[in-house]
Amino acid sequence: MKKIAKSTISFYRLLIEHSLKPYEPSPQHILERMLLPLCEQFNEIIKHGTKNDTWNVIQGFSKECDLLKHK
Amino acid sequence: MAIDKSSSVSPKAIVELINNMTALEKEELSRLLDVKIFEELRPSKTSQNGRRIGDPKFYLGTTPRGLNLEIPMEKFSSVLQLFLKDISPQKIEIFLSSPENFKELKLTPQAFQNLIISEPDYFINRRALIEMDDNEIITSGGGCISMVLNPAIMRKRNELASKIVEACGYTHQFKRKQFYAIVWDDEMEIKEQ
Repeated sequence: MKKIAKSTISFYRLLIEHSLKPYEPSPQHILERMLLPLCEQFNEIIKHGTKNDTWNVIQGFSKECDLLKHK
Repeated sequence: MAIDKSSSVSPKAIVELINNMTALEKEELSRLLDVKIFEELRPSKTSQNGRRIGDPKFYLGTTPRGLNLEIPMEKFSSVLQLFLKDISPQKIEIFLSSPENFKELKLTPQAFQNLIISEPDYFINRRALIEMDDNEIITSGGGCISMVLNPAIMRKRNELASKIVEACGYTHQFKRKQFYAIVWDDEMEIKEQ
């Protein structure tokens, strides 16, 4: 898997982890530390990635979603 | 009593109103007012489900596959160094990303150590995926970090977490499987289960 796909999945995991914390992070923190990196990486995948990269990212997101099933 | 109606309905307007009162009116007001009314008007620091809202000075918590951290960014190099020492990786791969630039680096452990010693601020304000063998660290540049640990390092997670706490200037030895430590002001709040 390409690093861009792996990194995108990791930022999504970071977002999920924040939703499970014992406190509620500020909207600014969510924006700067998770959403902006995710948006930048989505743009990069759209511009220079392949369909396979997109599939890898969606599959990775789905695996990270499993973390929420135990909550 | 004249009140400037151009003032917005705000604490400033209330102060102006009180200032315009006579001594007798002020005395009467002090008998009528209950401080609790004003305390109830303060914005709540907790959400409806009881979780505190905001960004703590320090946070370390377990996740299903590793650790999640909020640490002062200047401590990130120290945390990386102790991670490097504890897992002794064979290979290190770094993927740096920014709005304009995406870059991949492959480093030997020694080269990585040299980088974080010579440039401790290297990762400040950088988004990076750092892979040490099959362990993974993602940082979004502000001390916001997620670590996915391989099974061997997961077995040493409590020890690693205690070292991270120490590297950030606090002290605690974690004993249970799931835990978090959080600092809002000065005192560390710990929960282990």
